[in-house]
Amino acid sequence: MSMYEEKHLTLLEALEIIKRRKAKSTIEFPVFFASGFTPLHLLSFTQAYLQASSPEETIIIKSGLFNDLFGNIEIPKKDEFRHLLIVVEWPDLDPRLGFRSNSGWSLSMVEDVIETIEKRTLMLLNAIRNASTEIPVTLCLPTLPVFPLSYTPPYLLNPLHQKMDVLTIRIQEEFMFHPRVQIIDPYWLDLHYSQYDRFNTESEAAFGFPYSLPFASFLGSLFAETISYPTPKKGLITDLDGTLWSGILGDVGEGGIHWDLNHHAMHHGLYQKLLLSLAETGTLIAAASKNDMPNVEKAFHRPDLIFTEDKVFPFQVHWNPKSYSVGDILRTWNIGEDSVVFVDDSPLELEEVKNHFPKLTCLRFPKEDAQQILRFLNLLRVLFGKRQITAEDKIRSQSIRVSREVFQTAESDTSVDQESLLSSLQSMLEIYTRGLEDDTRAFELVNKTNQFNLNGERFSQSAWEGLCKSPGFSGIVIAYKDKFGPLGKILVLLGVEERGILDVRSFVMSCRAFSRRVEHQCLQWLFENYGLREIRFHFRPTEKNGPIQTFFKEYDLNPEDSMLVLKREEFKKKTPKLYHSIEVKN
Amino acid sequence: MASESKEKLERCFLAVFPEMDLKEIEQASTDKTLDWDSMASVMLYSLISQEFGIKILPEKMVDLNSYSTIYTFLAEEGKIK
Repeated sequence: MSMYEEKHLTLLEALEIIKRRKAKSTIEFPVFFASGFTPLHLLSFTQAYLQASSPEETIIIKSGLFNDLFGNIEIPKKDEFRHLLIVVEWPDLDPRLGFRSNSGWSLSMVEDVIETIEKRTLMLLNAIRNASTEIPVTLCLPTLPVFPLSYTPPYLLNPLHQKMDVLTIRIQEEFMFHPRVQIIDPYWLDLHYSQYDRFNTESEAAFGFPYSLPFASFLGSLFAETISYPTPKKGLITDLDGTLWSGILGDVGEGGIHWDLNHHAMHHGLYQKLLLSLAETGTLIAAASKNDMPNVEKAFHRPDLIFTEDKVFPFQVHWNPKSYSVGDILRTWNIGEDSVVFVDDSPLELEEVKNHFPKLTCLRFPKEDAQQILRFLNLLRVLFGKRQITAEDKIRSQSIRVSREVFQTAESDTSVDQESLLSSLQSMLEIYTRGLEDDTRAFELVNKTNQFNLNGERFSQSAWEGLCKSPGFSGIVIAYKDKFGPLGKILVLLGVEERGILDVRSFVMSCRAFSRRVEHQCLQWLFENYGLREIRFHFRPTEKNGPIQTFFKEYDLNPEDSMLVLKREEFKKKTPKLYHSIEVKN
Repeated sequence: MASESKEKLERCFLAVFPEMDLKEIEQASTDKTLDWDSMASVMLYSLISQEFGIKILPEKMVDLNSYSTIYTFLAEEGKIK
């Protein structure tokens, strides 16, 4: 097994995870599993992976009847289940494609199978359409080999297999951009398991469970990811020599380092290309290198470099230990070590950094083994993969530079007058109060913010929609801009308002917006515009939410209480001077 | 080695019958153990196959109806020495 592939659970490990968690939590997360086969171990694996990623909930997975995929898709109702998993195999569309059918064979039968799967695909499309209006869906299209019905040699494309491809694509095309349907990518499955390795004939015959255990475990892990929405990593710290390029810059000079095919350094070029795409889509990239800065500057001035200097912030180039560089970069970015990946070709450097930052993901660049590059690049995609790119992704790096240069410097420099700085910013807030259920940026912000976060509560897609549509729901999203540029949407507050009291369940703000008093302005706007007497916060301390605790202390609220109550008069007395202009967008 | 394999077999049983203790597991059989239904059998055979790297043929499954017969079967196959 490659060092770049995740180890998957054995069945015993999966059952032990389920057993361990069983008695602990009263919060339930019910999922419905619709298939035509006996889901058996696939349920156990999915449940275990989900349980491991959501330890505070009890995962319950229910399934329907054997051999009735269409009926099973219709079963789950919105109020009973939070997610629907649909797993289709070809025998669900025509049993003659399976291995349990004793239907005999004739030439005309092949044509009949083609007609049948075409008709049944239309029914399937309809069933998925209906189900997805009620509940978020994960869809897995056929993964298993079929009985070799065609008389042609199996390496030649035949009409049946061609039709199967067309129908699969038809389903994919309809649901690929559907907001409530996620489709498991068959290409990803192909990269990991051949069809022979997916299928277990004996288990299919004995129990009606067609998958090999390793493949079932792999599928279960993917299903869990589509439900739990793991937070993508936010930053990558890269080494330079032997990683971003081949060669030791200090020895060979900027002309002697390479990342191209001609110098057998293509894998470094591919890595640069992937870094470029990560940077363009909002991932922070920093460099940590034991080098002399003038040499690195010359290297980054080479016009053929794929990953350019303007995408890197900050550079840590000196001869101190790498852990020193990583610590400084984390402080500059103001994000936790568990949100960051460190890439270096030296096992020694990786170990030194890991010893200081145990929660950091440390990856060895496959310098000596170019054969591993695809697995390595795919692993980076797994760690940083986003479902959607938001406007904020495109400005994140720039806004962190400004934060570092203007705000962090001003805070640490006592000669800088904070009030003059804030009053000169020409800061402007855009306030959004509608359409939160469809606001992917707000959803992302609530689910990935750690520091200024009221209680660390994360939401599944269905829970998010449920909250946004609940009676009395009040939510606001704030976007910020000033003379240094926009930060995009950086604050979300969700609550329920009743008779002058706002009950706040979620309150998060991006660390990029710290020091600008946006959080104070948010509460002031709510008090004034909603005529509130008080705001109640459902607070819970987490390992990382120190910044919001500091904020509450400014209002003499005690972070040891689980319900913090801020009265209008108290707020007015203690709120600092605010300089923002405000525009309400809806 | 022998105790490790025995422990692994016990873990398999504990995963399928989480309410039982080790003493009860050694006495477990399809006759005496209420929870040991066909689903539990499937779970148990799959676990043992994966953990011990062994194939259990369908005709053999009928005979593997207690902890002790499974233990003996694994010993005969050289999986528990």
